[in-house]
Amino acid sequence: MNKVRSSVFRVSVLMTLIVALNFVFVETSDALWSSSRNSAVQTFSGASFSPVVAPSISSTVGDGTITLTWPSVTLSGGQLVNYSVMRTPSTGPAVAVCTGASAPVRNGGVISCSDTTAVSGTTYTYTEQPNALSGTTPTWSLPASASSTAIAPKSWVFDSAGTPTISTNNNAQLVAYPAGTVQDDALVLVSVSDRNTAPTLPSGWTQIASSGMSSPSPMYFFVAWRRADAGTSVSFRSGTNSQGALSLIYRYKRLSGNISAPVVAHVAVQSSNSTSSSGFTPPSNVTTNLPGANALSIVAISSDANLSLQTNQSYVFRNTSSATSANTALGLSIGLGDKFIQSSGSAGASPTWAQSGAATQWMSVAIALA
Amino acid sequence: MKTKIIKLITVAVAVATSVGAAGVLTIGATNALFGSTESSASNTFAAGTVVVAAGTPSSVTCAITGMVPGDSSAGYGSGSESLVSCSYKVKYTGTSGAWLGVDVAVAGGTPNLYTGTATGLQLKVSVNGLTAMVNGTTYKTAAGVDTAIVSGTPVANLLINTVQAAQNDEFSIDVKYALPIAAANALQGGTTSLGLTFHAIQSANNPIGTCVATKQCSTITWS
Repeated sequence: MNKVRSSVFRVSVLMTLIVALNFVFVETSDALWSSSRNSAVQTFSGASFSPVVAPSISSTVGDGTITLTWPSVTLSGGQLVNYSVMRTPSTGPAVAVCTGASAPVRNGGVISCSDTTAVSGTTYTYTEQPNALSGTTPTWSLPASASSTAIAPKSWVFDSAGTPTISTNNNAQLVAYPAGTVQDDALVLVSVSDRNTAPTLPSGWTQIASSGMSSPSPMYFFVAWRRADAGTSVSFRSGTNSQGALSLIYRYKRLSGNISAPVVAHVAVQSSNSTSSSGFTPPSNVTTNLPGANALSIVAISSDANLSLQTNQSYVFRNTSSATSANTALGLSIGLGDKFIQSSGSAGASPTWAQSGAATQWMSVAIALA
Repeated sequence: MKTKIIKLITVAVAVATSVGAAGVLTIGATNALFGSTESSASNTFAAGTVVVAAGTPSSVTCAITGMVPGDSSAGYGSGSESLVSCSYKVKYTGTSGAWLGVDVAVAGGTPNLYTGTATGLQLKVSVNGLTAMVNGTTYKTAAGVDTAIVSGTPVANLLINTVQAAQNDEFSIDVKYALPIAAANALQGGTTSLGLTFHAIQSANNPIGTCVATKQCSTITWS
């Protein structure tokens, strides 16, 4: 029995060894057991601007500002796009504008901002550069846009007309500055008389026009300008007699950014139409050698009437004053219109004036105020 | 392969059992004596397994679009930390002890957001909160040397742990990322992909040597 058990045991051990050897053979002759698993691919992509070229700026001159607009740019990630706006003068370095409280704003697909610091007499171009922000730090950007068309700010803007003064003799009378006049405003004194006699140029004023006619009836037209002093009126001898004269002062105020000292009236063109008519177009217009000027069209008639612009030629009607309220028999009126001239050169076609009264004679002057 | 091994073992056991039975019969026939036999309990041999399966909770795959400089994922440690981080969840379901490793493959488009420099896409890959095995643009060799990861050239066999994995151990391979503020304009619209391969190899008869977790390990036979 023990022999049998022993034999069986030996066989079992032998078989176990066979199996074990077989196991060893498998492990050493083949690869180790392994398994692997791949993740889904993780992807990362950077944002891109659209469009890929920064749009150019369109600029519009306003009273005291230059308004800049351009189409918006988007980032594919939906992030807010920031814009850096640079202003380059005709000579000198570029500076950043539209910053801080004046930063560009988006309205639909249009971005806009206002440059309120442009200096009169200087021509500028503008560029904008879209960029992404990390907090407040600009990061990615597009190349800056192409430069805008050159533009110059207004130096002056019409503010108001003073109260008309009626003279019936050549005594000195006070012609009031318009209410609100401050020092260094540009004041334009206009006087029209039913007598063909020149007024006396007041001290501190520069004569622009002084012209008279005798036919069909006597008439004298006088224009002068000055930088406003601290006073409130000017003592003026109109040169008239009992036939009377109408005098008033127009105020052009400085715009923000206009720090230039002189007010320059560049060219005066005097015109007259001794043939009575209900309308009048000054035969020639002014030319300025500075950008950003105001062209003034001033007319006077020997009639109490309301003056208006019949064909404005981009002029803006500013004022009509007559002596009617003070002296209905006087028969004198003055009108003013103006136009902003972006670039130096001609002010273009003269406007056509109309008047509400009977046909009468006309006198006019064109001024460039820069 | 596992199936083949199991079949071989089964055949060997069957042969052994037959031979053993024949031996008993032969002994009985030649001696013709009274006797009795006592069989041992059945000897069984079950093969182990090395298997990797999906873990829980579900993986979060990164599909990050529209990144701008300064963007980063939650927990990156700098940048906005406002973007979602990604995780690859796996579970070791094998019955044999195993060593675990990760292969990292970075690839890019044109332009490639990953530049391999401090101003391109930065990646941090870590497992279960351990020290990052990919840190920015580098991994550590077995010797502990920081080595740049090159886009298009996978990095293999970054060791996860020096303790062999047991069945149902779960692992989260976490990916955090950042695009530095200094990223160049040229990277606008760039793309990069990251592939992770989690793998397990039997630990038995496969010495780990001096390998250190989070570093590349070449001592282990990985396949």
